[in-house]
Amino acid sequence: MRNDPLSLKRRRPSLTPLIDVVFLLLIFFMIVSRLTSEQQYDFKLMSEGTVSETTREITQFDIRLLPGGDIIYQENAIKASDLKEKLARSEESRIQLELDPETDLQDTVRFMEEFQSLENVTVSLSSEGKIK
Amino acid sequence: MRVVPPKRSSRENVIPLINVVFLLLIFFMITGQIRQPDAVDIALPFSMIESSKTGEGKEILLTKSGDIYLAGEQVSLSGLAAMNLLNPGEILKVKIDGTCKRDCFLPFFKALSDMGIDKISLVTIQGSKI
Repeated sequence: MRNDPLSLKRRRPSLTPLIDVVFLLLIFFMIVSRLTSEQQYDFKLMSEGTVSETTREITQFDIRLLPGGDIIYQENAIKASDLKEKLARSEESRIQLELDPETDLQDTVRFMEEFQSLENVTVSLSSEGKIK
Repeated sequence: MRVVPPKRSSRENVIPLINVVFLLLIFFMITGQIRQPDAVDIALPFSMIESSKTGEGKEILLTKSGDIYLAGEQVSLSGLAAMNLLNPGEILKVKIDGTCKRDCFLPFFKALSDMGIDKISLVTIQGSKI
């Protein structure tokens, strides 16, 4: 019976099947898994005509949202920060949002996120795209 | 003086390679999410606000061209209006292409609003558009 170091070396279990399986698993996970994390955001649909149950005075801001997120208030372009200042001056504000035909959902979501998170501000989409 | 070249093993050392592959495997297993693919591929809008809300429920999908898919099946806007979409207390999970223009998503919102749905759960991707 041979018992030299060479034959002992040969008796080591082969790692090749293990590596094959690991590679296959890696390829599987790389293909099927998605790295982007989806989340859900509460989006209030049109609420024209709804009256909030409050005794406080509500100031309405008719805003037009242009593609790229540009904001038009009273026919003039206004910065988001300036609009926030105006909103902060009133006790309770309601933004009635009119969308330009070229305004996409991404711009709308960005605007809604920015202004819906403000205290005492409600944002509602104008159903026809135009302010009534 | 004669320089003796170092002895090289007959087989390349594959252990570092296996280590890296194992690390990659662990990374993909932990960070990746295995989900059923959507009926059609859409580019979800990005959201800056971090939300931990990831509830399950009825899912509706609106593509850039205005096609509506409910549970993987294409439905029309009028067909959707005839359906009893939600049970009381349920919130509809909506996936809309972020590049959808006003005239694509507003009639859809209007139809949902007419069905008595005042709030939806819009699916977004956390982060900013690069």
